[in-house]
Amino acid sequence: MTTPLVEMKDIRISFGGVRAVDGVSIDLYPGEVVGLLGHNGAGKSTLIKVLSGAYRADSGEILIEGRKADIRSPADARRYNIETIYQTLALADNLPAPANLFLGRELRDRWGFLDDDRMEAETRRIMARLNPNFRKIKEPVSALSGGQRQSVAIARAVYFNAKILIMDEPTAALGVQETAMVAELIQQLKAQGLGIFLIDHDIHAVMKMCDRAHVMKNGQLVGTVRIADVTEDDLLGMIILGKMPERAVV
Amino acid sequence: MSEVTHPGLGSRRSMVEQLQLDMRLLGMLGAFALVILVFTVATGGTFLTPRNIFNITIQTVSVAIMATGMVFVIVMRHIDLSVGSLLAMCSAVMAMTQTQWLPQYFGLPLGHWAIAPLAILAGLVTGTAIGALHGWLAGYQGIPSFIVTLGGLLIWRNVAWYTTRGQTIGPLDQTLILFGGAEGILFPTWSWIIGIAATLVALWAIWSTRKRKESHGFPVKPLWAEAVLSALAAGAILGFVAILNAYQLPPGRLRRMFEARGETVPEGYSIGHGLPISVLLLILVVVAMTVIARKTRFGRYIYATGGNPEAAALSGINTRWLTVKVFALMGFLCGLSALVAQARLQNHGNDIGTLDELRVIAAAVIGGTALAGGVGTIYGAILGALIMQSLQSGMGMVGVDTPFQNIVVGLVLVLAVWIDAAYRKRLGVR
Amino acid sequence: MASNDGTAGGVVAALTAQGLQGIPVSGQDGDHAALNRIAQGTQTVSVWKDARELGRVAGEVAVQLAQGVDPASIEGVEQFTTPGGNTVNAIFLDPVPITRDNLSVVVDAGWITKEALCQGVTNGPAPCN
Repeated sequence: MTTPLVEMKDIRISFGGVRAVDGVSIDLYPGEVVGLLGHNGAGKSTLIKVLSGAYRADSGEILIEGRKADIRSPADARRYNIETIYQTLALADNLPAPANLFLGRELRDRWGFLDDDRMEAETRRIMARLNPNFRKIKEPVSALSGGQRQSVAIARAVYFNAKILIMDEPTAALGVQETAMVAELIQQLKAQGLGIFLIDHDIHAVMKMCDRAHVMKNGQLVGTVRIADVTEDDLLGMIILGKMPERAVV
Repeated sequence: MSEVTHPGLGSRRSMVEQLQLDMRLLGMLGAFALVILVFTVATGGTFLTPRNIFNITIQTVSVAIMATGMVFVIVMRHIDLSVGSLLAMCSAVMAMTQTQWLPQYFGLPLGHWAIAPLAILAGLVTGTAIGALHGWLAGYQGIPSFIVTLGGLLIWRNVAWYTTRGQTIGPLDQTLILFGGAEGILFPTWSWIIGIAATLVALWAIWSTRKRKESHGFPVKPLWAEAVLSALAAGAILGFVAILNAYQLPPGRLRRMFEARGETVPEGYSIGHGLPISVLLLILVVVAMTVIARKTRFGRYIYATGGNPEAAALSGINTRWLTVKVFALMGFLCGLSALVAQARLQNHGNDIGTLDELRVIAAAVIGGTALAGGVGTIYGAILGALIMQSLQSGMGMVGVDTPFQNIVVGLVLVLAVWIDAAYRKRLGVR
Repeated sequence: MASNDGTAGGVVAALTAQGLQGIPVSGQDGDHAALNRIAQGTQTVSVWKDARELGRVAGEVAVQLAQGVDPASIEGVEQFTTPGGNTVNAIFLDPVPITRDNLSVVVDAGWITKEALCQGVTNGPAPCN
């Protein structure tokens, strides 16, 4: 068996006495899309923020490609090629696409000044590949549609050679066509060997896009299933009742 | 994907679009022009004399320097109410250093060449350190900057009071006084040299930007538009120098200058003022702050954090440390303004910089800086400061009562933000 | 005629920039910086009301009033009619106009040191000569 891309082992984190994540272990393999399911407040977003460096776990460990990883900040996560696309579309609305794509990792000229022209050229190049309809390069991203904004966020991950991609409800703000575009993009990235964590409320989308699913409830892991082995009802049962389907234990 | 528009094509686009001028900049320039026009008519032309333009320019410098820093503070969604008091604090330290501490404790005789640089250094260090303290309290300790600097407003003016025991400190070092405006001027020859050098730099910047864009295959402005912009830039710089050069030294001042050298004024001799050193200082600050805003990571992170603090933090930007740096920079600029203010008044007085916080914030806001964060330009703040000073000065010349002057400035502030809000709403921009 | 020495300082700075020294400028309070300007010849006069004397007399009067002494019978009290037409009890201290001719008064009174008064002054009026 290959080494998992990510292993999170026995992660615990509490906020002011409330156990948001209570001893959860999950994993992710290359070329795999793994759904992370659960109600609001089940702890999935908190868990994933530990991986992306936004929160620090109280205990537990993270292995990246079999080696212990020390992730204390978003910058650390990026060093392990972990990229995150947040539900809230973490873009600075007042800046145009290139500034957002390179935020925190700006290209600079030999004097150390920002090289906006090169960043713009790179943005045009990658957007031509991901979303050929994208034209508003110079305008603040607040002027863009949800799908266009999402494609900026995805372009950011792709440009910096993510190996591990975390997507927090990537299609929540999108229309039908744009959702299809993102779904296709996910398949494309999966084929390239990326491992993708997909946090989503939409059982349909999870059934369609994911290979496996981790289900959480009240900060704990209900279980992990192979999507091919379960029905939508099985997943709903896990989410709502916290009950494992009898035939589908991995 | 590159779409190259060829020069001369796309003629359906309006002229303003082709020049790619900022509509807001045009609006502010229009407002400024209106103020000038009204007062020129009301004063029968006195408002536009070289002498008055010179005076308005040197009166604007102190507030304008601080306004550039306030742009960054407000863009970061913070506010700094302490700048007037901080100016007084830096001024007190500078005044005490040059007149008492250095002569008494370090044995430097009054008039020693090292006194001015050491005093200036002391003031700048004081401002930077206090600014950093404010930033640390706001950034790391989570105290709203409104509260931190409201406290600072009370604290620093009164620490300054204790530092000088409430006395007016003077006379100040003769070298230091050169930073005040009228006393430190460059005269026409050097002003022309600097003006021409600045023009060449501006032209080079415009054309090298064009070349770079072309090399990436980006759309560029039509050639005639570049030419018009270049001509405007050159005209503005050289015209400004010409006006300041046209303001002749008053006879009494000439006599004093020649007497200091043990000579008498030759018959019919006359010479213009040229650029004041304080204005040159402001120009350098504006250029440096604009470069920081547009061409450095520091500046980019300020705007990104103002636009979406959470996104900035998730992108690995240390927004707390950034807050410290922005407030420290604000403090440094307060120190610089303190130098100009005390040199202009030739004394450190207790009330130096009183109410400057309001003028500085108003200048930034009239200049288009949004209190919601993320939006604001350095040139806008300078225009805002100029508009306010012109209003105040013009109303003084026309003989408007002081209370009414303040009422008008207050109205203009609210009106400017109102127009800006309406403009954004129409464009559908946040 | 400036309402205080701080304002007078600004006036002098503005006049100097216009090459208009020699125009008479008056201030009030006997600020150290203003006395120095008088020694330098850029300010004409500062009205000096010795705050120490003012404080001493006010303190003494307060003590007497607290002891129940009739205000009108306190030593040195005169009747003063205000511009509004009211008559009040008042004690008048003598303000001293300080010009280049009597600068020694402030030094002798210990209000200012000779060094502070004469800073940057060469060949000025007494005691700065």
